[in-house]
Amino acid sequence: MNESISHDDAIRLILNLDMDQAELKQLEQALSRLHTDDTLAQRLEELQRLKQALAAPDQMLDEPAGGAELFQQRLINKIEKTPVTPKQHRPAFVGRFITGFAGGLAAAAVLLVGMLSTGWWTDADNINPQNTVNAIDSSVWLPKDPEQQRALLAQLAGFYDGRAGWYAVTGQDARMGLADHPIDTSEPLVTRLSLEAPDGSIIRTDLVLFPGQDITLEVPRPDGPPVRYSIKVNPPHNGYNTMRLKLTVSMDDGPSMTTEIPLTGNTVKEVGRLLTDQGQYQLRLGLADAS
Amino acid sequence: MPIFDGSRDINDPWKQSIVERARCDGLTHFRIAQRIVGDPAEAEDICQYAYLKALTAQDTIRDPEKLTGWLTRVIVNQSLDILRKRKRQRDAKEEHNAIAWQKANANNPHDLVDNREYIASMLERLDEPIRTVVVMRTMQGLSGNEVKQALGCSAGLVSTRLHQGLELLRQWMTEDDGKEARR
Repeated sequence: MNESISHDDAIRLILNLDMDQAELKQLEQALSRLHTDDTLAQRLEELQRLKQALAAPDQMLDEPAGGAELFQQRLINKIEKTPVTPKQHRPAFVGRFITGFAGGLAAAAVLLVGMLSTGWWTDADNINPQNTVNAIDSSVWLPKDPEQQRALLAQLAGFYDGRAGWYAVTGQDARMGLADHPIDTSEPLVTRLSLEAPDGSIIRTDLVLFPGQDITLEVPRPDGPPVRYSIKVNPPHNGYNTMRLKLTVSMDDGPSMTTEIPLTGNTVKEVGRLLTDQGQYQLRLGLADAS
Repeated sequence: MPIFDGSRDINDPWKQSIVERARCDGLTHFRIAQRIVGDPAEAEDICQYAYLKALTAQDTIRDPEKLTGWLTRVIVNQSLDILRKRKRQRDAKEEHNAIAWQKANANNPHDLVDNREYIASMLERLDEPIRTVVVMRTMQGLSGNEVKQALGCSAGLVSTRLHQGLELLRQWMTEDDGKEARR
């Protein structure tokens, strides 16, 4: 062995091993044993072969689409476009909610279950949908914790490759909209739709969205047909967004109301009234300030 | 002004560490995933999943030097998970897995590697800490010192886990080979 390795190579090799004197001594003993112990030599050879087999040469594998450089660039672009979201700022339920829906990427809109169980969503005002409008303060028409709601949508957008366009929460029901492709995730809007039913109950829906989405949202009701919203928020023009909204409160061919509303921050709008066989519904829209 | 555009925090040190890892290890991680799942598109998805997950895991990983180890672990686990799901949807896997250690002994490691699912099923049986070291030292081609640094453990522990892992794989493959021979 001494004949086949130069002085410098030996030093380089030993230094490269990064071993102290005791370890080098052990290595010497191990090599010495290897030369005299056939069983050890055979076992070592088997393990080396296994290592080699696990480290299959790259040429056996297909290139990433477009080649290695493009792959790397795609990966880096994704990382750069996705916000850093430190764990401590994430509402506790997000992990479960994301885990639960990781498999549902293909769905245009998915039902989000369990996200309300932590109580994060509970309003300080504690509005029960069954409360009458007279019993509550006017500030409840505005969405709560807009920063937290924006952060949640941003996290969802990051997780779903920029495709999460909106989410909505009504009571214990939560839904999310996924686009087919990444969308513009700037300027999220935090809104609250409050629909006062003829019996005085209020169906409150918090909707957080990125402008430009076509949103079809069905809000289930325990004692009546679902409420349907068709919404599109247009990108800002002359300093504000506008929302085109269609409200239907009974089955497909039932009465509906369509309107277009200018969206200005921290305001409550009386959207309109819809007369049905059951009586009159009144819709209000609250919009949080832009952050 | 964009509010949640990810490019806004492009100078965030944590993001920069992850981008740096993607530059250095991205392709190797792609290869690891591909060796397990086979399909390059799926391997790329796995890499993206792991690297984007790292953006939310600063509190867990803390030290950027440990990113490589963490990413490798997530990529291997995710790849095995996908393979497991895929296998559940398919039967006749036992026959498919019949290839064994014998082929590696036949001086052609490529035969063994060809059978990704067999190797993956073997890796899956290893405890995660051992599996991570085996993957990093063999598939990822890192030195003992690099693995030591990436996992934040001693060099002795790295060698011990590598030895344990390879020895267990050898035993299981030999057992399978025996079963195959008795059929």
